[in-house]
Amino acid sequence: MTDKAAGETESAREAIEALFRAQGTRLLRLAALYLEDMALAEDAVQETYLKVYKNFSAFRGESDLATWAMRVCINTCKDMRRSAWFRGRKQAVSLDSLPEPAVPVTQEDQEVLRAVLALPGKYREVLLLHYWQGIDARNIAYALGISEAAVYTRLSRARARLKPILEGGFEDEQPHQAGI
Amino acid sequence: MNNPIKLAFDRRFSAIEMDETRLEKLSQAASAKTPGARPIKRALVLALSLLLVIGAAYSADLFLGIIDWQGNEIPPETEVMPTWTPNDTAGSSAEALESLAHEALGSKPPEELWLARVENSWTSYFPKIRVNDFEQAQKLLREGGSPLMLPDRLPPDYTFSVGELSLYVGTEYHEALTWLGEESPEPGLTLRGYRLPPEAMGDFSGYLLHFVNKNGETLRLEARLSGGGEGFGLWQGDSCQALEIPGFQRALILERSSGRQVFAQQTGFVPISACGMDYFTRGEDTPENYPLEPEILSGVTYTLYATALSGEEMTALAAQFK
Repeated sequence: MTDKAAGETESAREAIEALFRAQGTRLLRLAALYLEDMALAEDAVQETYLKVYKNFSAFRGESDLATWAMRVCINTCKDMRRSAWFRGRKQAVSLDSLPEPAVPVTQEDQEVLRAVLALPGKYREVLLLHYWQGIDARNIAYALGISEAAVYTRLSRARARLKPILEGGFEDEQPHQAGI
Repeated sequence: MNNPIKLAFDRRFSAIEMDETRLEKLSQAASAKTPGARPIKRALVLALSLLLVIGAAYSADLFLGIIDWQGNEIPPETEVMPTWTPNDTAGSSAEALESLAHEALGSKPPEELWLARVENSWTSYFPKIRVNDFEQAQKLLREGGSPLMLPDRLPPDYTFSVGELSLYVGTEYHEALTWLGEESPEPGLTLRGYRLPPEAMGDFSGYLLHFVNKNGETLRLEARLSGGGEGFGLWQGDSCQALEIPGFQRALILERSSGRQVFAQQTGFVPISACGMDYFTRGEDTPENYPLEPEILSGVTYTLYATALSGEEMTALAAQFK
């Protein structure tokens, strides 16, 4: 390896380590949500790290680095869910196998969790990326490989389904106007 | 205005953090990656897909090989497995269709068997029965006359979390299946359903049961009827050892960074003849006159996974399966 290539490798590693230091918790939590299992979530994040590292030089800046890593992580989780091992598992989402919360979860939280987890997958996914992870529609579209219009539609339908359950509304009722 | 979703999910996931230990592991994983290992890895990944490989570990570049019950490496066969890259959009439409199939079939009643064809590839959704406690799983297996075993008792402090039993369709019930119809909710996706006769509802092909203790440590028990050919993925940092456990013909323990897995195989019961995929898709992938080949299930492979139990505790748990 030349000095230049070695330097580029080192700077890529530093950039990726900084990325995972800043975004690792978010990725790990998302993976835990998708896979419902901490050991599998850690495997998924590790594989995400390796894919990001391996493909860093091919990153074309279609999104910011954090969104790209999230896309890689989501696809890794979905690949794992399609594996033969996962195919035998239930489809309903359960957080029972995840570590107990470090801070108290209120009764209201429980109701929100139940309502959101009961949503169909494609609505739940978009809703959580936006309202939990704070990602805007353009980046959700990139992370999931769908159109922005589909993001708006799914968010709108998810909100409609949750409205009877969640009182007080959402931070941005009009995604187009609010510019998410 | 508040955001109840963020508050609820932040609190529920508050114990999950990317701490220094995890960051260190990520960094070490990248350091361990060597460019020369890639062709071998891809070949092994294919072999992984050809065998019934048990155990969940997915760090592709740290994959060392497939081992048999004695811990010996099984030579890889050939390589055709494509590798996903971040800029690769191939497969995204199949993924969307599979998600749609999952959603459409996720709420089907347990007496229905569904198949989904996504872009010319069939996937079966064999029926599953959700159980509410350990005793219910024991009772259903006992009443069905199943060869699948469960432990007499669980380790102290572990309580049932979630679980399900999955069914197979014996070849004797093939003619008794009721055709439910076929639908195509999207171009490229076909769903095909059958109803099982009541007498087939006790034929269990496996189970997956989760238990948790008060510290959140997990114990998972899994059983799967199979026709043999098992292999186990070995990943960097794993160690394995063949075991002898009373009641089982073969056993193996794998020590992994994420926990321990004990695998144990039971044979010796009358082989089961089950409907394979071509019983449901004849005429699609195979000619109408193609002879149907049943899937012969002659063994059960049990997997015990635990994050906190010692190897001795897991072996003792396996020894009291009956």
